[in-house]
Amino acid sequence: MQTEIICKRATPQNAWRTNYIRRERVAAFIALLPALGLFGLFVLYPLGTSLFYATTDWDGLSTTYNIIGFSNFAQVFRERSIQQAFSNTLYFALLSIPSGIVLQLLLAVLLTQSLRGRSLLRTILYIPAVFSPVIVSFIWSALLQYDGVINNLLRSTGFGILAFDWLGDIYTVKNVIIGVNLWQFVGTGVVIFIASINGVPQELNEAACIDGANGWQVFFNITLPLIMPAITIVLFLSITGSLRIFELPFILTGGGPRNASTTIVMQIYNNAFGNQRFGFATALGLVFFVFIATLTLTQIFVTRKYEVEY
Amino acid sequence: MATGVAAIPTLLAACGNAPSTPASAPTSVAPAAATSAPAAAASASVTAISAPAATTAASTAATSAPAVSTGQQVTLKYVTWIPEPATADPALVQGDRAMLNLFEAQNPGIKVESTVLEGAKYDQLLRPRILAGDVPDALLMQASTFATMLSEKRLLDVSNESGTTAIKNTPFLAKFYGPDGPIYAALVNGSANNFPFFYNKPTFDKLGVRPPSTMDEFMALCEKIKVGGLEAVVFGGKDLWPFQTLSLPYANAEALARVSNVDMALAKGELTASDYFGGYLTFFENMVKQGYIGKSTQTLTFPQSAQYFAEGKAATLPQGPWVPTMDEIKAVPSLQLATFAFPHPADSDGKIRLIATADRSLGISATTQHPDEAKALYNFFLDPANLGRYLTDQSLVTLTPGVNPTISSVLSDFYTSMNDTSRYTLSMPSSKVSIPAGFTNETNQSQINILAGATAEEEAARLNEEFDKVKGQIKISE
Repeated sequence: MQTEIICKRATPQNAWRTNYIRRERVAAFIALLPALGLFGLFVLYPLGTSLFYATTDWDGLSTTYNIIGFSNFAQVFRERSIQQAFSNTLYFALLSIPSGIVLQLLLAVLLTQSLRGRSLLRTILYIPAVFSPVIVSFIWSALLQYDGVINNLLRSTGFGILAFDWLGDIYTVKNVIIGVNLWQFVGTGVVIFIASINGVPQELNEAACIDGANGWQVFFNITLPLIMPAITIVLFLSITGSLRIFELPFILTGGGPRNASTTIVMQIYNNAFGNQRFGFATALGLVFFVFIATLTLTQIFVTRKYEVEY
Repeated sequence: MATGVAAIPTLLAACGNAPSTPASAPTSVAPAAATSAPAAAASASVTAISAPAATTAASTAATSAPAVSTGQQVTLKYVTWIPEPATADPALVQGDRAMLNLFEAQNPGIKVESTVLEGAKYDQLLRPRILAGDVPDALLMQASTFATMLSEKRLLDVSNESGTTAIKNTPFLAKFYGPDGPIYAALVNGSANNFPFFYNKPTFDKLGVRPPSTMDEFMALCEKIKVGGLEAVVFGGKDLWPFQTLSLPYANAEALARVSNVDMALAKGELTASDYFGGYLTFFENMVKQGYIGKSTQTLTFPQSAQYFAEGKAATLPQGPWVPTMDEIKAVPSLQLATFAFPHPADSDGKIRLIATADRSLGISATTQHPDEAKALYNFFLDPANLGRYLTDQSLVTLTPGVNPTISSVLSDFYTSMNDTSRYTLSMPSSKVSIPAGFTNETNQSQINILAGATAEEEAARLNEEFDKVKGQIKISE
């Protein structure tokens, strides 16, 4: 069969259309330029220079440095303290994310019921999220010290046997920090979930009830799928927040005892400003960025599959 | 007593080489203080080396030549780690801000904006500011800060300033502040790197114990205190730096028996971190295992440790000479403070080797936009009368000849023992080696780790690893 090549003739209408599209694209590009410029200046440029400094032994202040290739990146995976910090950070994330999501969801469901004082309860739950993590850390430090408020209260009320070294015990310190972190940020997720639950049409629930579904079936088969977008967001915030945890362990324990509460971000800070290994700290930051980005992209990809629309 | 502190420069002048500095000198934090007398509440007379100048704010400051006036208001930026006392007595110079206020009163055309950074992380907090271009015109420096700033040529040559005269005329200080000739800063506060153990006389009387003069007596003292139901020794461990009041003198006393210059030996690999600190960590581990240092030390801050001591929960508090001026101490009028020197093990020649430290030094940034005004501030601060008052009101001492602060009688026993030249030899550190502050933090952290159950051996090995990390960042200016 002969193949016919059909050429579009350059009619005046086609030429006009092409020019119009080209002008539109140019106009759009020009409109985007300021945003692209800012993006380039504040994101791409620092990223590029970070990539460069990560291949050097720069100490953060000197005007001279040596390019050492990818030694810093290799060192990231060799150092024991980094391995421990990574392990601690994963522990924080693996415990606080699921427990946080479940707690926030339960509280949100509770606070969407007809309860007296639910507005007050919502406010009380959200207040800690408004405080600076630094302030929260100092407050909890005073409460949890070995000679702090909690232990002194226990001793003075005859429960001295329960007084514990909350921040000095290597096995409990991580869980204590997780608890404080949950306390501070549970309100944020609750607010998002409440808004999402309130957006589920009541008639769907009513129809399900008429069909004989109980509360759990309504929740798991109707409410949960419909609030998946909110779960995606809260999960994303939880993952990034728990992996980047810094202020709480920094102020509460300084990373101790015995590095039991040190995190990757603390190691970045200590190496950059304490050990003057700016190049190494930059490499660590980049490796961690890739890790978080991979994790969150995977999470979004997976959870979006479960989102439904009605 | 009057000769105690004044003798130290003589001891230093008589010494040969100036061995090295410890990894970093202990930092001092001048806490809040509110009385007009530096002595502790129940102490008797204050032993005056020289009477401080009159107490009114406006009149005491000696006049220094006003800065060149251009008719325009000049604002200087000043950074320090000495916080404003919570209950400051306006008649006293209880911190840098009070000194700056006096300077401003005498120099109406100059305003000084001061920023206080956390002392324990001073180097770490100052560095990003410098990196970002927010360089102060004048700054107070810890020993490690000075060494770093000097090696990076970030300080102005102040050789010809009046505030530098005493430094220039004192060889061991001139060598520290100007190892290559020009002088780049001056001493504000410094002494032998050996800190007093504070105790409450009634507590010791009740327990039937006396200050120790040997290590065996010290351990026996701790045991008796423990049997008496108290903690023998308390530190503000959460702030980390309070450990240095004992760890550095102990480690230096041991190391100086082997090398003449500790920092240089560390930098060149002639001394490992475990060699340097291993002996002290073993001692500390023993103290913890015996129950002489309690769990409270792990989480108490420095002010809280003073309060813990004042409340009678711990029998001794190793700390700096500023303790009598602390609010937490003055809040307990029944305290009868006294001090003793820690009985460091002596070397084979019977001497205990200590390093003199420059705890606070004052310098001017090389990139200041207002050099004349900054120099005026520098000279005002270091004027002997002004500096003497600053030191007296904060219960501090100095190695600078011609500056004679009044020392609290609480500290008389301690400084008298320090004056014993048959017992102590002092040497000035070198400012040519700058070891990152992160390593010092790790040496402090090792004590927290021992409190949490680590062994001295594990921590000594860990310090070797940590030192290896910072080895590449050590600056040696030779």
